[in-house]
Amino acid sequence: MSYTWSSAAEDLARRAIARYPEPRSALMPLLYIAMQEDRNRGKAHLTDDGMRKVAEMVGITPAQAAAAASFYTMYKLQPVGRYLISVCTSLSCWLAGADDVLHALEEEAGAPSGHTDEEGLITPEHVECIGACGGAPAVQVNYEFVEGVDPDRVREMVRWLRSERPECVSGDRLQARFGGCVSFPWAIPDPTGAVGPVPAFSPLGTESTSPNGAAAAEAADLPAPSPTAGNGDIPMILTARMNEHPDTSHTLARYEATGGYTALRKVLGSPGMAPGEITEEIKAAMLRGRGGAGFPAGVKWSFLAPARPSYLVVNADESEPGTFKDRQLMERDPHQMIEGVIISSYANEVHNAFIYVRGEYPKAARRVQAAVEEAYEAGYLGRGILGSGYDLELVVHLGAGAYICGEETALLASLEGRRGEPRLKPPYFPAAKGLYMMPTIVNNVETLANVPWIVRNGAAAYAAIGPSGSPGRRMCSVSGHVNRPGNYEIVEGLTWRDLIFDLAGGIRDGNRLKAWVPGGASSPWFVPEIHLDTEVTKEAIDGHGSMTGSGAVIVMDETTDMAAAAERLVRFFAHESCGQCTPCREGTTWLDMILRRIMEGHGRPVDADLLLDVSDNISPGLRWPPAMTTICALGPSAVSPVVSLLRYFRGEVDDHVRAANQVPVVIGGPR
Amino acid sequence: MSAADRSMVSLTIDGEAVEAPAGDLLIKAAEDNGAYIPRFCWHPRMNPVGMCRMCLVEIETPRGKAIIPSCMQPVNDGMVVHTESAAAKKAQEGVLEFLLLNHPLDCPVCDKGGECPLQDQTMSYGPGESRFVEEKRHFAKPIPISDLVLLDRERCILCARCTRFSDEISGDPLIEFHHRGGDTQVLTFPDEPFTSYFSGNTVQICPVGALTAVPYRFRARPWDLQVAESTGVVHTEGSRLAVHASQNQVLRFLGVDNGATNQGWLSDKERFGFEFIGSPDRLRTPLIREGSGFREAGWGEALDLAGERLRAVIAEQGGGAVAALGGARGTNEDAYALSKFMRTAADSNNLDAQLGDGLEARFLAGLAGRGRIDDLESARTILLWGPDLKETHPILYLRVRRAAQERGASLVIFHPRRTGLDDRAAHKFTYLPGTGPEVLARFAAGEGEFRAAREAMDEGPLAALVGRPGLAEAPRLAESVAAFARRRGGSILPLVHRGNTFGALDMGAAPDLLPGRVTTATDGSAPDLVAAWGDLPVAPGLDALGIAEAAAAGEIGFLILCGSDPVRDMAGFDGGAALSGAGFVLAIDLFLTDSSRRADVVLPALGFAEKKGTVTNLEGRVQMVNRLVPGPGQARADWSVLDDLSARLGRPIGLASEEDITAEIARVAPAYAGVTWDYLEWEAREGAVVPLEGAVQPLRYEPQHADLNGESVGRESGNFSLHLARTMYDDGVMVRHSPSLSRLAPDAAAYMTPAYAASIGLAEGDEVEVPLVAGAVTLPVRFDPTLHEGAVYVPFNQPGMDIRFGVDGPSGGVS
Repeated sequence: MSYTWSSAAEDLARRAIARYPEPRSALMPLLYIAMQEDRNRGKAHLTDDGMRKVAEMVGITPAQAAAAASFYTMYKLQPVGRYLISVCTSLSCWLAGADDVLHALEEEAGAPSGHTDEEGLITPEHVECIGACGGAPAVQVNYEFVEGVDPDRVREMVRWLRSERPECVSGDRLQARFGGCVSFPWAIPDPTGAVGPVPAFSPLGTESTSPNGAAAAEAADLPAPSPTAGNGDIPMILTARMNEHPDTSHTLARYEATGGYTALRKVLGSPGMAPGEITEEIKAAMLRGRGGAGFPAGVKWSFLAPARPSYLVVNADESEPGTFKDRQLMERDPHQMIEGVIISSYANEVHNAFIYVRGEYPKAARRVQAAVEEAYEAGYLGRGILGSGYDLELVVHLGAGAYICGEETALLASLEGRRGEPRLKPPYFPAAKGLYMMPTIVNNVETLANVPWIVRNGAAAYAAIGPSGSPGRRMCSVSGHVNRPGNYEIVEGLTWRDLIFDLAGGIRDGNRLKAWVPGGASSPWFVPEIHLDTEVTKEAIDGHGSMTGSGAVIVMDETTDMAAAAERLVRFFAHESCGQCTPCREGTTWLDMILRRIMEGHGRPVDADLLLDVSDNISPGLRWPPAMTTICALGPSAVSPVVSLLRYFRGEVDDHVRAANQVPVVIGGPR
Repeated sequence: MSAADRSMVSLTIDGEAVEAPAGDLLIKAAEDNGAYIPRFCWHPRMNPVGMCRMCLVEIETPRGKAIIPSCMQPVNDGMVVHTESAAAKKAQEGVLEFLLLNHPLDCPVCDKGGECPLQDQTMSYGPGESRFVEEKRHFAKPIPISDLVLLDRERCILCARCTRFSDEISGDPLIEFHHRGGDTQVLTFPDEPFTSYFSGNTVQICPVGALTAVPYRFRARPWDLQVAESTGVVHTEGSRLAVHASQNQVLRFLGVDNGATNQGWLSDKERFGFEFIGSPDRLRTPLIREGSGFREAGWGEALDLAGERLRAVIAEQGGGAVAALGGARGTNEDAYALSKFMRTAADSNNLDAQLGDGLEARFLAGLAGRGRIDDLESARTILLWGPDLKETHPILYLRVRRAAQERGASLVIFHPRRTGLDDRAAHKFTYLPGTGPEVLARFAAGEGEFRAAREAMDEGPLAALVGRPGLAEAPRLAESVAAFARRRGGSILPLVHRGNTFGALDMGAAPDLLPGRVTTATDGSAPDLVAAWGDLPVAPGLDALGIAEAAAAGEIGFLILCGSDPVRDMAGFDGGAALSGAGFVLAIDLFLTDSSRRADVVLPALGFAEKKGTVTNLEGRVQMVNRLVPGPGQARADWSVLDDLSARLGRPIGLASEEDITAEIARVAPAYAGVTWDYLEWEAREGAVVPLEGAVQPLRYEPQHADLNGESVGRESGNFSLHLARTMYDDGVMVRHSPSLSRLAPDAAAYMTPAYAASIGLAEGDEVEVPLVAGAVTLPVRFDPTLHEGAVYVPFNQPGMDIRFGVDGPSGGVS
């Protein structure tokens, strides 16, 4: 056994294990630590020795560790250079020219996607949506964002990395030099960055500070932050603080100075509120989940089974293509969410809560981690919170690249140190059999960020905002071919015309609007001829056979090849399918193969009907909300763009087929 | 909870009103009521996961019809189910089409072809043709994932039966899904092969040809196989299995689901041990010693010679100079013949089915409070003080694992080192071999570290599995543990080696036992036996160690070995010395073993699958073994050999056929009354636990606490405590002649903790001389940090450990 870790790594690993109720839950942080250790030992990837060591530490077999490690894209089992440059090629970035960016990168780096240049310095890769859709096309260098790039600037960046060879990759620095339009104003300088192709996060020991304060200096060059806009006259709820105090909204001092933690004091102080009272309040506010399903949060809490311990897990694994709102809420106002977590944990008699932040959001994780540490320091977390008898431990858990972990049961499996495979509901409803098979509440970041406001101002005040079925303000991420992409904090009730043409500034270059995705990549498309003047309300959107989803709106103009757009979305789902159930594993892959074949000029007249029938075998009846032959909704989500394509743009598919060369079908291609 | 204990619900399946026990899964309820729903991932002995989606059916709900997987849905009262509606059929067809997209359809060269669920269900439920024109997935095929199992990932449909089995059932999660989505594949970790003792089960439950077994690969097509159900005799649990043969060659065993015992699973040793049956090394003719070797002989000549010598010994020295070892590897009928032969023809009580490595015969045969394996299902507390079940009792290992993991039983283990069940134990105590009696006393008193575990003992129902943790430990300790458990109303499962030990003892293959759980002091408790057998020998008999000692001292004139190999298999005495001292040795065996090689006459015997009869497991469960192939050459059944030999003595034991012997047993052996072939074949589907209702068992042995402090060997400075224990694979006759298994033995070594090794100046890889009864053996030192400090673990009977060995106590010195 010559394979050993540095004492620093051993220490980090032991502390990670101690943070969780069960050691296996520390698998994901330990795999990152192993990868970093392996890099320090000159290995450019996560080694078998590393996985074996992690397995031993958390008490599983190496096969189990490798089963999990190979599930997530961010554990690199193949060698990766010092700078991993990830180009998002999902729909929003693709609409903005991501493929050209990728080609330019591959050319400049001298290595195709997934491979490393001869020097071992740069590895280009294409990735699925990284949550920077408002700043498309976007890339990450060692998971630090650079938004609004173009092919030339990416080439320039590669040359700069080659000559400069920065020890620490700072997102602020790269953005200032090579970036352009951003998803939302970054506003707050970030002096830290990554020291290798592992997300920079202090509990992993992977965070570093940019030397010479250069980052801070350069961050000052960032454009002046503009406030997050919304419709209507009602004051902002979620973005008010960051709008008013753009560069300090993330600090505890600012949070407290602007009414922060008063809701928690109200709950835990005298006379205080009983857990059940809070649940009733949230129910009465009719706060709907903001993660995608839109289920009323208070009702969800009331389903919590009586067994204890119970757990609360924040779903911060935002990864529905087109969505980047939770990223903003976490980066710029983490305490708002944390206060919501504490109140919600108290309401559900939870003493161990977790924030599962997607791996591609290290900056958000850093901000949340710093805020959690501040909150512990100030007595808002830990033992005897605010002098009450209530204890809560809160752990920030970093994901590792798997969209499916945004599905709540998959997220829980992942948090247990397993592959992120969804569990069938019933019987595995989290409220009954959740984390470690105990009752668990899983709520989205934005959902919980609303909780302090509701507790402070009362359910009635919240319920009075906007339509009665889905009141309050909600975040809406707009991307694609609009003039002003970004996050908007809206009150439902405006029309799509208002949202796309007023708030988002209309279609770029004065082009004609062709279609849009109304609620994240999974949602059936809307088209102007039918939907432009319908209302943006849950009721209306549901009524037109789509969904509010994660609030992500992706707008496509007349230049868009809709078959190609659909293929982008299907490709995403095929890439993200966990693979455990047959119709999704095989079906999404097959749908994508057919669409690619059509795009490559080998379409057949039977293919459109074949697409529909294969779709029907995944989602019988092709309706929305979907029926499904699958375990979770990922399969039907992949079907959704196919059905939308053939419903509204079948002619474009036929055009591709007619234009196809009439050579017999060429089978296959690299998988 | 059995189905009968549960309330029934009414539901409608395909228009038929049916009833099913509440809690049953729909897929099972439908099958029980005649509506078979296709499936791949669901297996009745594993937790459902609803992954393959093959079992989709349509149910009517208040919100309309819904497609659901029937393997995840418990039946509800009033449920309306359609398994063959248009929607259900389309969903099923769709799933099959998806599964076939990437399936290579190499059925003509696939072992599974002809018995393949994917093939069958495609015929029944699948679409007629494929609409997939793209390239299929390609993988290197097949890849070995262990010495026994090959994996073909192209054929795999990712049902996860194998990965779930190894995780949930056998507790060795060494194969797992790797990667994800369309790239998902089953894999092992590099350099960590699928070395499970249960790997063959994954081959059997694989619904396609993705997992194939090395010993069977390309050997036969299913439709050419003849099949007979039988009962395994490798282990004492009495696993039900099916013997498959073609052209008189046994080609494989498959597990059969007997709910009371193995529940469909087999150990790899049981499953792949079929290989020895067809070994070219099997004895084919009688052999007569000639100088240092043998010459082949006819049966007449060999039996004449043996009969003549035996007659002379009896005449000159009396029956007390005749002894027999063995009987625990054959059928009850063979053991009965041996017992009857010894008592009536040889006038001797000197016989033993054990080889000094087991427990008191009366304890094993007459045990009051003997439990059933199924007691583990309802046990709240399980006490395990005996060998590592994973090594010696694989089916009990699975059943205890299940009890602790799925049924919530609290498991308490005492053993000198780690065991396969430690990960499921609520309390595990690692103790120094030889200190068992003191540990038991402190445990019984609930002292210190034992308090919580001791309190658990009062949480009934209690099931206790008792045996010798190591061969160097006092056998009476197990009885003391049993006595402790009995006082708490516990049911006892006794743990000994050799598959039909219990049957052999029940047939009287022990010095103080007669057939039917009767002691030699019959006291009129077995009148039919006395009537049938006539005068019985008066002199008390010797057990295996007594026989060996007497033989070594030249007091045994005629020694019969019935499939026993004391040279390699005896603990506590040098079997070689015994054979050298015996006047004449007659071996009835399958092979020339290290023991039969030293005999004067060797007679070729029939083995498993070559003879019919009954065997008895550790619960006292009697089941049939069956004949499917003829034996090699002139091999004959033990009973018929003994019958012939008895005739040559002029004292015929009068046995005519296997079925007649079973009938005779049922007539004369009290505890076996009523156990006939007809009964076993037609009425006792899960076997018959004797005594049957109405039969009597004269011997009721209440385990006693023994004061063993005198036998407990203290540890002196510089000495160590020996832990000599059996492993699944060793250099036993069967493993040695099963090529697939023989290379799996762990090899000879002396294991100790690094600290202990350091304290006596040894490093890993050094050689150490370990003194055993027959002499010292030199072994390489290996580290085992799970051992109790100061103990040295030596796996029993390993290849390369050529010295004869045995052991008389748990301590020795290191030189």
